[in-house]
Amino acid sequence: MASEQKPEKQDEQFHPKGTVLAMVIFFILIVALWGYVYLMMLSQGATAP
Amino acid sequence: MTAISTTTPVVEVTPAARPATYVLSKGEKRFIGLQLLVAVAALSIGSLFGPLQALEFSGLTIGGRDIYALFQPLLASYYQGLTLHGVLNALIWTTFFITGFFNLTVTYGLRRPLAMPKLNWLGFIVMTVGLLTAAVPILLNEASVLYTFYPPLQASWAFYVGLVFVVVGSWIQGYGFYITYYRWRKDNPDVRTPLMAFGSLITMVMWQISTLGIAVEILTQLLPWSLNLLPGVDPQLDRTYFWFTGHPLVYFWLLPAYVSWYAMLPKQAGGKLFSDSLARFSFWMFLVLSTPLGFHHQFTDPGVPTIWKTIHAVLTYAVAFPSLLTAFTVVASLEYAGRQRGGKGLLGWIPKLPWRDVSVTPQILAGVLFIFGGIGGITNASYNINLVVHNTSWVPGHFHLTVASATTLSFMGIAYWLVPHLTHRTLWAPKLALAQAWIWFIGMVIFSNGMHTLGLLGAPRRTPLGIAPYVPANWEPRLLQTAIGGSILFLGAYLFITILVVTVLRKPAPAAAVPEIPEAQSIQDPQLTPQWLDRWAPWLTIAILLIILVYGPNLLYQITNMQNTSPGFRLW
Repeated sequence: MASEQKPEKQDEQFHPKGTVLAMVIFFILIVALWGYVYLMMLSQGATAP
Repeated sequence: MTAISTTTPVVEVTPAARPATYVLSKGEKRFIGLQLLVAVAALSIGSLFGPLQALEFSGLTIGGRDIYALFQPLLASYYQGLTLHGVLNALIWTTFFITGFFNLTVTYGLRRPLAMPKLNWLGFIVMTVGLLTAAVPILLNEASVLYTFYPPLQASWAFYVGLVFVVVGSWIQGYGFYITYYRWRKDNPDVRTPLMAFGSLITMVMWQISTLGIAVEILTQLLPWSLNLLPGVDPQLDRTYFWFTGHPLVYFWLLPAYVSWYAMLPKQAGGKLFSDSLARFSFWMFLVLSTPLGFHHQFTDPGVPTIWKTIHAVLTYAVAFPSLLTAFTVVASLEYAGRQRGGKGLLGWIPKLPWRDVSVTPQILAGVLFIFGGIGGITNASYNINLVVHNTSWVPGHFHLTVASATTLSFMGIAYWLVPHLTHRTLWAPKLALAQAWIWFIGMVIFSNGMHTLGLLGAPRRTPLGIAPYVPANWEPRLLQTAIGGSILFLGAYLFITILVVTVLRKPAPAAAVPEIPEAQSIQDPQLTPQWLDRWAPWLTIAILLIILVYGPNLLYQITNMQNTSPGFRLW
């Protein structure tokens, strides 16, 4: 069922490097914001008895 | 991740087995339009109460009295307003928009009319009767139980009946989709299900499985209890039933937006879908993982053993995986579009995206807000942090980034092409519509940041903080911030509604000026997607088995130890 047309050149050469960078930034944001919340909770004495 | 792009054979797509397009009939357009009309009407009423809550937070008083006093006897209390806001915006606006949108995605995707359109009409009528039945007690202050309707808060029986009708009506519409799909499959045994129909069908199946929770809760507990047929209910069991549905409800809101992000947005942005396989795999993962994780909403419930909470916590992190896949695939599709439009460098494709497109921009902004909604969700799903933020304003801050951002802002972007398409009009004031999307975005950034921060400072949720005597000084700037954000959101909501209303009232436009239904092609021919990503039986089996495995034992324990002893309370 696949088309017999040849792929476009730009499709073949497409490597989503910008997306990979965006995902890296996303992961850094997750760690930073999660860590911030965790440390803020600790600083407020959330774990104190 | 780059391996995905470099090793996959790339073939230009021509959906060979499908007609190039499908023209919706007048009747089909009217049916979809009616569902959107009910959705927008619900949003227009539900949104009235958002700024009221936000302004109340700021401590605004009239003659020394809480601002809700202004609206008495029409509005009895903060909690009646909060119930109207939650039910109309989170349940009705979303559900009616989704069923209307799915009528389009299933028929257009499969390139055929509904097999039994009267069945879908029946579903819509049942939903509407349910909405009206539930609305009456809410408006009469007989159902001020918020949209979670936790017992022992007790509502009028009509509220519960109305909710059942809304859910059952949506099921009936789902059956109409399944029959249509079944007949399409018989005619096209070897063709991959077109993606927009595929995602819509999975969403409907997920919804039908997960809503069994509130169906059982209402039919076996809340409804007989409200009719005095039961002496009391078991609030612990009912919370478990509710959250069986409650978390997948979030995905019922989100997945229709994903259908648009995967199957429409790439085309609108001038590109193609990066990976058909990844898109399909994500939808299957949502079917499998959306339901068996509801105990993460019950970390503070004493009746659920820690081991089950831990298992559900792990599965909660697992469901982040298809969301991350979605983020990657959608952003890669946008990157492709941006590069097609001349974007260079690592991030130079971003400014090349069609930011002036009134449908594209809201959906991209919705995705940006959802980044923070996702991070907040991952954060508050961690057991120890959840114990601290659980009943604080962090939680509504979080879900305004999901249902009121990823979902609602996407739906707004969809409506900006869909309503003109259905009504044969051009959109009124497209520049204003573009501004509306940015206003919503800015309002939500201010509002949700305020709510999250207040939660970290310990401010409780579901509380009229404007009249609370215990508000410390360090909450006050954040309460004001929340009020400002909420007011901006109100402006954004009513701009959206005004634009749609004026659009519908305009004269018909020439056919060439009316937007077409956007359907994105995939870089890779969908026929090259592995067949196991287009087969229902294994995924459905895994989904049901996993639910039985991680819900079954504890649910069985709770049911066999049920104590229907709690009387009902009506406090406001």
